[in-house]
Amino acid sequence: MSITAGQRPRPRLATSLLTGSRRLEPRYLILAVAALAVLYLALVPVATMVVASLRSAFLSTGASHWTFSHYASTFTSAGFGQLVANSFGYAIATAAVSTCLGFGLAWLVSRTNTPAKTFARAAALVPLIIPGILNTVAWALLLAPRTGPLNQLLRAIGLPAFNVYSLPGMVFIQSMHVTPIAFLMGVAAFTSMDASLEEAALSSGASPWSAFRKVTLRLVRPAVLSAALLMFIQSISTFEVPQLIGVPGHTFVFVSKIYDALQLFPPDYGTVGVIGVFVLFIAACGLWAAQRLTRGRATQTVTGKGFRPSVTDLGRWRYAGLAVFGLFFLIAVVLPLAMLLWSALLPGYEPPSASALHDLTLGNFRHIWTTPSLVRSVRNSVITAVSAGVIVTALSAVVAYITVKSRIRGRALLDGLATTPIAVPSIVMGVGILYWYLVAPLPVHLYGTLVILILAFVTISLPYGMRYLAPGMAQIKDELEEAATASGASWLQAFRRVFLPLLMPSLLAAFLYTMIVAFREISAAIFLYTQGSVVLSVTVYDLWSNGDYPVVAALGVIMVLFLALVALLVQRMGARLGIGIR
Amino acid sequence: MLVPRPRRWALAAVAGAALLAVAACGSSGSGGGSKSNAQVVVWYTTFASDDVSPMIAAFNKQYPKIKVQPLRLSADQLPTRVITEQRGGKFNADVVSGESVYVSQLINAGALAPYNPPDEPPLPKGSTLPPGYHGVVYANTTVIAYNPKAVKAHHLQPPKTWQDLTKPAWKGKFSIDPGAVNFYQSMITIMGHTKALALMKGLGDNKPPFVESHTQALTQVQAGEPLATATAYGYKAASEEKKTPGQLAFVNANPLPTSLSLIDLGKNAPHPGPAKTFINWMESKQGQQQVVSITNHVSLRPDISNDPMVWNPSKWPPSWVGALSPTLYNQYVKEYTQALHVP
Amino acid sequence: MIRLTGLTKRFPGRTVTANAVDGIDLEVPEGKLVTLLGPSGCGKTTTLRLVAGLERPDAGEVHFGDKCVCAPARGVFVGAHHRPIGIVFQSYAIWPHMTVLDNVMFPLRVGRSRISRKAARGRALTALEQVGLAEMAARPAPALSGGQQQRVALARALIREPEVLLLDEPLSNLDAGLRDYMRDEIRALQQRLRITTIFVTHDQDEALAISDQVVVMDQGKIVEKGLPQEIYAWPRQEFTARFLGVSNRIPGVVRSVSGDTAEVEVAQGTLRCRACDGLAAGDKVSAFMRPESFKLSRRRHSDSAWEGRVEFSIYHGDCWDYHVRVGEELLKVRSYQEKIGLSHGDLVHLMPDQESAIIMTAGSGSGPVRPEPDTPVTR
Repeated sequence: MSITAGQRPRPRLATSLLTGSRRLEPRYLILAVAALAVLYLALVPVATMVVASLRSAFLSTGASHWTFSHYASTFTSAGFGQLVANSFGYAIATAAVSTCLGFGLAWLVSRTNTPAKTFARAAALVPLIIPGILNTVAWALLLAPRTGPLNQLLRAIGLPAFNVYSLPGMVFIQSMHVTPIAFLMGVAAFTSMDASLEEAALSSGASPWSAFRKVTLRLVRPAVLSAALLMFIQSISTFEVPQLIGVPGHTFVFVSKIYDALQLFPPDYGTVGVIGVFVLFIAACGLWAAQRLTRGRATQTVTGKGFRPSVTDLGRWRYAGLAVFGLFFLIAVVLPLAMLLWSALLPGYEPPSASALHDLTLGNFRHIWTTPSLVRSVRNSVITAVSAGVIVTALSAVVAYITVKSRIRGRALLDGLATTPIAVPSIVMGVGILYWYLVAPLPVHLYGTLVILILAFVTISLPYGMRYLAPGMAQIKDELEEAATASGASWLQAFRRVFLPLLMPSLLAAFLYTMIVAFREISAAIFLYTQGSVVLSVTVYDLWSNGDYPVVAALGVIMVLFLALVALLVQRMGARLGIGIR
Repeated sequence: MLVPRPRRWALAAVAGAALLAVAACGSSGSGGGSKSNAQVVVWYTTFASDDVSPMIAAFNKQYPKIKVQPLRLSADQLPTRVITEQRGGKFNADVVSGESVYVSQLINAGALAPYNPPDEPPLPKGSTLPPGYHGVVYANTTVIAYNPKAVKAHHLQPPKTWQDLTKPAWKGKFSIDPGAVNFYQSMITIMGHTKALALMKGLGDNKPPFVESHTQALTQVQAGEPLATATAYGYKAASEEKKTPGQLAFVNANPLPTSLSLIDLGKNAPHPGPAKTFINWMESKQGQQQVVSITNHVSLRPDISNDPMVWNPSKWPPSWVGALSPTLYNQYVKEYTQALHVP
Repeated sequence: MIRLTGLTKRFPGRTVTANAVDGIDLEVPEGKLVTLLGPSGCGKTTTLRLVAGLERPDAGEVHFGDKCVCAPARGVFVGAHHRPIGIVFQSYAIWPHMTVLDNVMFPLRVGRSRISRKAARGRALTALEQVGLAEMAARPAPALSGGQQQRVALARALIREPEVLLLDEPLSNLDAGLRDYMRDEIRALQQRLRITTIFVTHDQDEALAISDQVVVMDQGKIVEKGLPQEIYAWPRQEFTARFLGVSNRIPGVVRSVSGDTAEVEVAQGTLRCRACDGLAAGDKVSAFMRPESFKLSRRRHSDSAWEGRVEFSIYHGDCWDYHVRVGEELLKVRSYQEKIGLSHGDLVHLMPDQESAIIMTAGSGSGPVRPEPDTPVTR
């Protein structure tokens, strides 16, 4: 059919140069660099882990060979069944609790007339800025079986105390930590649903309840599933709760087992690799299933025009809705922060009591200020988190451009690669990155610098950056960019003057979120810091494990204040641009 | 709606570039391997985190030109970290100090270099360490610590021996460090392998909550939960008891389980000169004096006097443990963790 | 002048051949307006985008005058930003983060021939004045109505004084009244500027009204092209006939041909038609009749009238459409006589207008025909 079929001459390089062939356009250069960066970031930790699991001796000077023996020995080892049961029990229960809670709150905010929505929104989002390690520490203190103020309260009113050092305790703390993410996903799902779909059900004679059940719930089901999956993966792969709550109470999960195997001497790299691969496999299966379930829906973009999510009138119950938010705010924000503040103001840790009131002091803050290593860890955290935020935002903007806007072959693969880090437990990520930069024949030594931490944070938060930018990108119509190109703008000019400004809300949101993720990250950082590159989250863990609770609390207060300040600043910037940060 | 703001992009670009520059500076400034003229010592240590800075400050009073960069690690993290780095071809640590049971594993693995400081405390009788690795920073005693108020409130008798903690009344009411192999090693020395293992099983069957460190165990006991800890260090228990007398007390056993904390030169240390200066100081009279006065640890130098609550060999004769072969180390770790039901 | 030769573009992975372009040869004369007309998915927009340089063809060439801007076989491709074009998109693609003025100024401030901000501002204001939006210049673009946005898009497309203007269904998002007005405006502007223009639409009325030449497309191919009146009166392909609303297709056999008239025997009687090339007696043909090519009455005025019964009727205001069952066929008949007022089951007589039938030999007009929504399925 084609006039040139069979006799197509080879494109001459000279002509290509003159006419600007695709190889030389800056656009393709940038895209290629971004794609390679993602490839590198995603594959290095995974590949290192796989290799570690398959070598008879890893990181060893002696002879070693390929083997499956680590798999055999790990899967048949005593206690592995219990480990699997604990890990799944913990992650599934957390996913269920946080998804139900998050989507329930999201429904109240976006689909009902619950009053004081601004407060409700803030109430559900503020927990995001409380780093997991602090959340865990605060709850460990609040719910200490005998001395925790909450348990004393429970006992005072005749109820049995809640032992936080247990599986339910782990589920509770982790749920408090991840619910805001489920809430965000829920709000997105509920607001992007056309009200007329429910109205059609109502006008077909369905009762509001059955319309909710048969239409609303069905429509958000893919979102619910993908949120639950994300919660599951986050829970199965992070470090704080299993280490600080699980281990003291003898509840061991994958992550604590990995951490344990690394403390052995010599370290058991094989077991680490096997469990890492195992978790990756589970997470990858989950991701694949979620993508299959949500296929076809993901591409639908909201038109924004004439769009109005319906609002259910809860009648007098709407104050109950507000009360739910108040309660959630109290539990997820006020209690932990109050506990931190209380501990931060005491010279030595003691449970809250009136008698301790006259001991209140700012000494811990003064101590932080006058201890160079603590000041340095604050500085390092700010540098790494902000750099990671900037890099991830830029990188995922370009990658999202490729996956959403271009028709370049392999874009689906690139999308998958950019999502991979979600499935890699952060602790395995840390170990993988550590091993790689120790053994890789690179011209510059990154081990021991902040760069290696930034690399880890970038890898870990890349999928989250993508989650903000890919939908943001999809909402910008192709024609807006094409109109610029057709007006004579080069690709760079079009990207800069049309794409970027339109993308600004998503960019800001992505920056804010990835920065927060990086700032509170500990699971990978714990393996990557050396003298001079300690970050705040690691310091907090170190001080906690040394029992220096008051300084932990004071550092925590500083962390939360800093994150709140940044969030507020970004929010203000967004407001000046006339954008609500989603 | 968006308000046009043409210079936004340029601003963002400048800000991003500045940030990266800061990050680069930050990392190069803190890089361990910098070959500048400034004298640097990288010190991997298990000193309690709030003791590290004062120790460095004391050293710098005498040697202001040597910058000590500390990396504080928990006792069980430290050997793994050193070995992993060295196998990856990075020799980052100049000076390594930690518990003999762990450091001896590094000595066995050839991760440390021999060095004899000119003036070092004598090795206690019965301790065996390979020549060139005799640097003892302090002696460490393991004690039972408890909260007298809380123990009374629970109508229990203060524990006097570890056997007391195996009683049903103490079930779940005391903590233990699942990484404290040196404790197990000490008990083997004192009572023999079979009895020591039986004791550990007795403790493990009482489902003690696990703690991550000796110091954390003490903080928890002070706060009243759990009531006691089986693995506390005497130096810290004594200083904490002085601070909060009602909330902490401890028992020195007879014989007293005692281990050594060693200080050694890292293999292929990047800054061997300053590193030796640092070790020499740490072992010298001035250094040891600082160790005692800052940390309340026990110095083995005859010309230094220690806290009598912690160290009184005539009243509580020590039972020394020192180096451990890799085979025995692995066997002890396995037995100890299995006894405590760590999966 | 724009010349397209053998232009081919496929979208692998997409179902069937939607939006593909399959060997288009077309010449748009200097200063003329050519319309690409066809149903959605026929490849007309893709053709426009290939001309603009927003897509890269798999094969074929595009020439702007003497200059080859695209020839994949020779490795030649000039990007959209280097082609002398102005384009108006279906959605207008007005940048929502800029003011009206910034939107119009944009083409002058990017690309190779950049001019100073002040000069660009002046020219943009003049352009806005011409489209009657000078007082809106400082407004944020999304604050405009659809018609105003469309004029901004037009001003933006023309501000660089491009050699070629490309319009992609520019009227489809406008209200009916405004649509006619803007259509006339565009035509007037195009004739004043004498700018070579390609206009893409799926609306036959728009195409007929505005064009110097109409190109009918289907499934990535050009079905036929010609002057609007030719295309309308004597379509040569069944697809064109159907697309332009010739909804009645009656099978028949040629009885005799004399000069340029032919007599065709159909089931209902005989039709006198304009003959087409190479028609001979005995050929099997299809006769196409417009709904308005019948006279309809209750009484039988002539022996040659066809008898039928009304199935249903649709009221249009100025006319009625009756669907009449004649033998096996269901014919659509349009009547401008308001008072007839027929209803279901009424007996009527149809009198076909002389020489109004369009004859095509069976098997020609080969493109498979998609039934239009208002076309009853015959056969």
